Amino acid sequence: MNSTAVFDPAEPTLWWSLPSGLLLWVIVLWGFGLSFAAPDRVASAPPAAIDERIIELPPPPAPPKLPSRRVVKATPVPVHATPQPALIPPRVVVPVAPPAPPAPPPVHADPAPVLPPPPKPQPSTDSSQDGTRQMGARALYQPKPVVPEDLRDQTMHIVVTARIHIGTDGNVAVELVNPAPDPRVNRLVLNTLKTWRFFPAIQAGKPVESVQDVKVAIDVD
Amino acid sequence: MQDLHESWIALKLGGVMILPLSLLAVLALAIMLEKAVLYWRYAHLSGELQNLVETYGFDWKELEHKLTALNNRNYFYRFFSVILSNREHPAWWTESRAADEAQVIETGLSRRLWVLETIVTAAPLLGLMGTIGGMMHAFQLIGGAGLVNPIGVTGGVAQALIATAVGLLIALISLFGFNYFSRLQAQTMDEMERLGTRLIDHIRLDQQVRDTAGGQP
Repeated sequence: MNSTAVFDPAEPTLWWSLPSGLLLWVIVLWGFGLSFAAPDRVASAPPAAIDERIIELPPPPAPPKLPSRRVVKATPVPVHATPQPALIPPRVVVPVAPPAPPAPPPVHADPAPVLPPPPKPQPSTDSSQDGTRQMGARALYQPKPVVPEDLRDQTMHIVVTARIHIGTDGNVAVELVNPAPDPRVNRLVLNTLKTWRFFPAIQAGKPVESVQDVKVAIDVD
Repeated sequence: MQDLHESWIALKLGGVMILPLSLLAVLALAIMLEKAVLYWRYAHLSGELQNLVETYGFDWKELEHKLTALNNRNYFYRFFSVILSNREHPAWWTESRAADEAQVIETGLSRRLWVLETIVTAAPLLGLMGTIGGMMHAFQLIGGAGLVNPIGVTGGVAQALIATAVGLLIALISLFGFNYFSRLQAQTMDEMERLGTRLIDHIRLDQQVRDTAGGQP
């Protein structure tokens, strides 16, 4: 019985305990990560009711006709400060904007299907002075924004006002005049409105650029 | 495989602090595993041997015989062997050698427990560091131009929370391990001291019987 040759069994054991600890930790992390990821898969509650409305704002009121050609040149500048007055041909005598039609009643739509509402033909007007025929832009394809799941879990009643610049080829450029406080909603509205297609406004038989303001209301109860 | 990927995505949100936290966790688990095996294989005393030492009809030869059945790396084997090999010496000498051996054994049992104790304190602190880093990152995204990247902000908050949660989890596991093995160490040393005292008593008794027998004419 030799007591001086001290053997300590705790000495050489790290060679197996470290890999075992690593394996255990990977298992713990796996379970831990799963607990974070699980709620996303479990969330199967029915989506909240959504009420969406798209309200087209009436075009800016037509400025009064003025006899002076110099003044007529100024009429293309939209009332709501569209930053491209020079794009409208200067020879226009009658303002681009048609007379304001009565505001259409809000359209209640189901959230799932995206149905383009029937195009709303702008009343065409005939110029009494030179006979040039003009017609406002008509919407051909107007999908409504589909609210994603992550936005449905909170109640919101948001109205976003967007300004749509309709090109001569019917393509649109969109800017938000009155954005929502939530940037995700803004992005959703922008992405949806960018897909809209129009029949361009016609003036003197030729397509011209025009501007429309649109109100998009998103209600999640 | 999908679950593993989701776990990985969730943990990546924890940020860079997950790495030192993982290092601490692996260390803590390794130490606890090592201690568990140590107590299971090398600090286990059979009830048979314990009964033998505590009975009045104690026999040194039987003790030697039962000790051979033990693993020679067993701590009790080492302790009893020291007493057995010195039992012909005066009792004070044997007692002193046994105390020395017990001290060496205690040092072996408590080895690396300080690391576990440090991890109990350090893991939540590292988690807090992750919290601060994640929050700083999140609030840096709200600059003069306002909230330009809300997803980045929520990601930073998630990073902060995950790092803290992992740090607390490691601290909790280490705390239970540290307390359990500290308690086990104290129990083992108490047991060793009690049985050692009993053996020293037997040695004293034997010497007294010898002295009495030698003094008689």
